[in-house]
Amino acid sequence: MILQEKDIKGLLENIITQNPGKELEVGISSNETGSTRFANNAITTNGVYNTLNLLVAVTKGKKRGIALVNELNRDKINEAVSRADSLADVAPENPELMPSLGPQIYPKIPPVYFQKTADFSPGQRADAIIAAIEKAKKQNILAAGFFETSSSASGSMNSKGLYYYLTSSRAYYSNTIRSQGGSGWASADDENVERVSTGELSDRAIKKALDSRDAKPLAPGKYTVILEPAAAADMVWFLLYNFAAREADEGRSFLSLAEGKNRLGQKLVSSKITIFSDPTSPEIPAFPIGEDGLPQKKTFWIEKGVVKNLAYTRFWAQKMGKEPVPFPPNIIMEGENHTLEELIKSTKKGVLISRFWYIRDLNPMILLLTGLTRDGTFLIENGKVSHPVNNFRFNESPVNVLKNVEMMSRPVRAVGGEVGQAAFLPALKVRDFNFSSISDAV
Amino acid sequence: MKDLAELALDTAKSRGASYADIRICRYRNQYIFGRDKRIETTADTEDMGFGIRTIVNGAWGFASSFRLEKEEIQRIAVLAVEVAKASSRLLKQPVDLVPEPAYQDHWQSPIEKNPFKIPMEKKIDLILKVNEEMLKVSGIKVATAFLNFNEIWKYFASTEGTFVEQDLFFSYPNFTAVAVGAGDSQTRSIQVAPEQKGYEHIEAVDWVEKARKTAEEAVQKLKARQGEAGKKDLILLPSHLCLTMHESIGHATELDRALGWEADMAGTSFVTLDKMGTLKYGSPLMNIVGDKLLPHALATVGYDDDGVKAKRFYIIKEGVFVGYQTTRELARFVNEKESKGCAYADSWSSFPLQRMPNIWLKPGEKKLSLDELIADTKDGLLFDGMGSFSIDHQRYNFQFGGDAIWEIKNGKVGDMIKNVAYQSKTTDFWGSMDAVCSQEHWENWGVFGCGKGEPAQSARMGHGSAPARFRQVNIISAGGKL
Repeated sequence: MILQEKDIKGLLENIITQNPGKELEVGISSNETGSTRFANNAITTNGVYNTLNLLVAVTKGKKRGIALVNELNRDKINEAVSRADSLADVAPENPELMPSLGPQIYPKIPPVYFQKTADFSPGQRADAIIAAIEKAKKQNILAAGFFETSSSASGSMNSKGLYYYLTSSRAYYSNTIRSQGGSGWASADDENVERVSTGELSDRAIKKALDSRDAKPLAPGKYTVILEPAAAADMVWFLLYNFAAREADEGRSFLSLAEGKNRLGQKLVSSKITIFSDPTSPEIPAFPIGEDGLPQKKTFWIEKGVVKNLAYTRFWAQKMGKEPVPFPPNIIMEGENHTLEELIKSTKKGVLISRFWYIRDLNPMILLLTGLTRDGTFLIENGKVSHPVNNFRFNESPVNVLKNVEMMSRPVRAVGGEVGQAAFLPALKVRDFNFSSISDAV
Repeated sequence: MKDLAELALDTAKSRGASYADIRICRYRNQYIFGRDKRIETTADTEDMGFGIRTIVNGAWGFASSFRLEKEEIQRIAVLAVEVAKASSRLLKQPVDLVPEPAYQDHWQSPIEKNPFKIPMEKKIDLILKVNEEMLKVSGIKVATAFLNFNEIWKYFASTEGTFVEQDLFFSYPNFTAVAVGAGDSQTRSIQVAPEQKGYEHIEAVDWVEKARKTAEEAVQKLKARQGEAGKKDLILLPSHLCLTMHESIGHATELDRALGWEADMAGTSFVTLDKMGTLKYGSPLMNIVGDKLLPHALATVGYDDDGVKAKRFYIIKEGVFVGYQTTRELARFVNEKESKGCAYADSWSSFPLQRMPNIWLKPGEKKLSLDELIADTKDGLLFDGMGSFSIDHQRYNFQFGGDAIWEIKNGKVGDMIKNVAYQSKTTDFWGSMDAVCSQEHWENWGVFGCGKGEPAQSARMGHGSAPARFRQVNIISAGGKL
């Protein structure tokens, strides 16, 4: 069971009051997770995990020390304070260290804690998994996957009066179904376990596994592709991971321009593209707290193709005369009024991509990424999915992907197969996507 | 500690467990990060708890807690039994552990200087000094550095009578120079491997000299011309080959992947069970060893997290795949009577998985130096350090960049080039290896943060080799403009 607010707040207050005159930041996080794995139509591992962390940061002018322990008895708390204090003593002055913030006002977010998720039992997870496995067995194919439910509480306080506390829960289900010569995958997450439809997710993965059998060869090259929302989520998250203002200003990013300038305010991608983050989103609520306890606000990153914001740390914002902008806590991308089927129907020749895998940076100056397709790659001919094809390695930039978007579906909540983070975004039809070689993996 | 462990094991047994083990672990981590002659982070963290694993009705159960108290140990032991009962509802094959003798032992990393007893000021000074040296080089815009020290103390006990205490130490230095100019930015890192050593690992290096040279190479890389696509002979230094071995051999020969147990996340493997003893993985020069004994290597232990005594074994012999990495649970799937000792959990709160041991390439038997190998290469590329890396979910198709790449022309190292990577298929690539330098050029390298499993776990493992040559590998260009 996770700690309650009165316990966390009481402990934090005690630590602050018992160390008068010290500039302290203290945080406690408490988490309980249950997860069950399955493979080859059987449960493989099943566990319950409890964790607790106490973070103590002591600041002395421009010097800071950090200690982390996972016990809350008096001796251990004192040891953590003393260790952070000693580290602050020996640390040299850091001119970039910003002063602690005072009390902040955070936006009210939709509920992110659901008791049913926190209480979800190993038996309930097993019920859902058994149902998926029974369906797979009927088709004579193999189900593998992971079902995790967790609840967390975290609170933080500093000696200048900043305080926040949040409880949250998350359910995540992923399944990969393997047929003879094919593979399918589907996953979803939600704060409320009742909104994770494991039955629908297993149906979707089974269909992909059956449809992807007997893949035919297709040569690498540039193709129009349709990225299902999970694949699109990987691309868009990788783009925003690289939206740091400092790297751009220092000439180290695809957002850099000559003479220490950056692409803020410039057109970067297609005018169709608008991407923002918003912790109050009903579809994909997020933690409303950013760096050092700054409130997360609704922030447009790209609006009609133009870069509207970059992430500014508090120090960099001060140096550059800007407001600090924390990194996005979630991604919401506007779509168009189409379905995925309509995107396929509009495509004369293209490749439908279900999921990406092992994406890594190849050249940060053009944000060139490499990665692979997996678990369902199909050729589209004359508006229809005609047959499965081999998997590919791609070498492509998400900037080009968003420049070359031709059509989008309505947005949905999806979890990127590579990044493991959710986004609310559409499926994308993209021209000239570069597959550099084929992969024999099935 | 033994009393607490016995309490857990007795409780689990009394509730119906046919097997149980407990790992009581304490993790200490010290991390100091600096940038541009400033120390941004000085952190000291500690994490302690225990995990209890049970087998009930042939199924695994696991539960863990950070409260190392008698009542909590009993509660968690009961919970681990309950979780196993829930799992046993859908049992295909009961868990059947291959036998292992019982041990009572203590094992410790062979270190000379405990890094946690070295004053923090000394570590800070080193970071500042290396930062300063790098920034003296014209064209260097940013210098970053971290020193990371870990201690893992663990106590393992099982219902089979094993009680083993281990204390492991790791030292991981990382220093990087970033050159910026003319619309480009390039990085170069000092090439010193993380190892299972104490602070003597840090003191053995002339960091100031390396800092200057590394920064100068970052600037050379910035000014280097873009490499072109085509086929080239590659000479890969141990600092680079480390990751290629890890991805294309290490993960591919994990038995849990081959069996499909990782299908939902990391994937499966092209090295299927029918290929044991027959798959021609590479050239006859290719001898790959799985090893938990290698001194100072990152996966070396006394005993694994199944309580299996560390050992050494062949994975690939003279180019032929001969054996998987296994655990006590996995061994019987390949009809082996004992585990190869590859169980590892990254935390007291993690369920042990089959993780890679140290996996290394044996040096060539014929005396061959790097200089001789370069002299024997007409048109090639020399790769040092790790760059971009990616491989498919069955470990066929991979692509690797490097930290620094030089041309080799007519037997001599020429100019540095930038923005290239090589792309190949695992067995084609290893089949093209036609030379491996001899023992005196062998170096121990390693990967400090390898992810696997759901929930994700991180592990460290060593990958040593001597420089080796690969013929006519496909090079791709990673240059261009937005």
